Amino acid sequence: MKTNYEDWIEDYIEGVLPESDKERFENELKSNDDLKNKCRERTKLHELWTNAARYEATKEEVIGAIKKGKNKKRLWIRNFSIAASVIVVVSLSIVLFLNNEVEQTEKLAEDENTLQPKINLPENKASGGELQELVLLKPANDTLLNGSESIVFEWTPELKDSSAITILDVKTDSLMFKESILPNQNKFMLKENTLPPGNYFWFIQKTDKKESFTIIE
Amino acid sequence: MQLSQTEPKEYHLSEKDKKIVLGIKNYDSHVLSKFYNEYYESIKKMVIQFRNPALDPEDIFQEGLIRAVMNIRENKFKENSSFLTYLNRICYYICLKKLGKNPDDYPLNDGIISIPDEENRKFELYERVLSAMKQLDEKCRDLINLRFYVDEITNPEEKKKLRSYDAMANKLNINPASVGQFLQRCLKKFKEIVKNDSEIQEYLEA
Repeated sequence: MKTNYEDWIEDYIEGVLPESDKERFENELKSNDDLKNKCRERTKLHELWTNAARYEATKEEVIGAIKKGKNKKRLWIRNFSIAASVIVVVSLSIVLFLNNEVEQTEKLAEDENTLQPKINLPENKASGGELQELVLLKPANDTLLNGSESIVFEWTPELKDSSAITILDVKTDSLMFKESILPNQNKFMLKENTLPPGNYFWFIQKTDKKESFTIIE
Repeated sequence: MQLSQTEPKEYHLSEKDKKIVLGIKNYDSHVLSKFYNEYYESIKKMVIQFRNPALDPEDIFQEGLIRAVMNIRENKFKENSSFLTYLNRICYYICLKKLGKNPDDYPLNDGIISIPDEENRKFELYERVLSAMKQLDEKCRDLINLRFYVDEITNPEEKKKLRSYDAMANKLNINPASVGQFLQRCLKKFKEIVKNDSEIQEYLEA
């Protein structure tokens, strides 16, 4: 019976040909060039097929890895964007909060300014606000007085705080007399011959009112 | 591609590149997933220098990386340059081929590295074989894959085991008695398909 050795190629190459057949096959290979070529071609086909399959598997592996890498990058960009947005929002909130604070402070300051007169009322009193309402009764403007007599200075109302009565020389603007006055005081008596003849101003300190008088010989 | 005219300088792979090579050989997906973010921009710059819209940097990068990975697993990477330089050269070659230019006319005689032409040409052959494989019906492809231990070859976790006709018949749900003949028919069909491809034929007859 004629053997079709080509049917054995498959099992021979895959190493599953029975030992007795393998020997016959190898003997045939030595003399049969066509069989030899077919065997070589089959081996190469196997090699090419498996390499191509390996190439395809590597391709899938690399495509998957690239996809994973891109996702990582996308994820990084997304996280970075979120982080950046959070930073921007937080920064804006801080800026807006600080601006609001400044505005509120300014508003408070404005309010304070509006309230100032009310708040400063006692201060005005202390700094002479009430004193400015003071009226210097006598000696009134340009009163002629005798230097050898005592001179009474009088004002209204009574002072709530201590102050001082001051007399200046009109010509030289120099201080001629100064004496403390106590709270609730509304009069002061200058002893005779304290001032020489001349023209004088008198006023109570911390007020803008002043009167003049003249001492004659 | 021409071999470098100058003597390659002695090069020692960096620790980082050693880890890359090891990771690729060990099928470490974590190592592979870092490549896009680490190397894509460099490759893109190189591709853009060709100023040709026919070249898609992403495609070139993907193709180059597949080749680099396969070469490393087959110990074809001589470790005489950094991994990036190696990848860059492969991608450079792919660009030239896609533009129909002969890489021999564009040698990179910088003394760093050159990649033998046949190393690159085999991938073009694989692409042709894959397209020939797709012309077979699914059952034929599965049967040949089983016969050639493709699962075990492409998946290092699987151990190569003897694939009997009975086992194949069982897996593919066909009659065990007809497996041998069926396989012969599939292989014959495949040979006929590749006969039309001169490059594959040239390879088989060489």
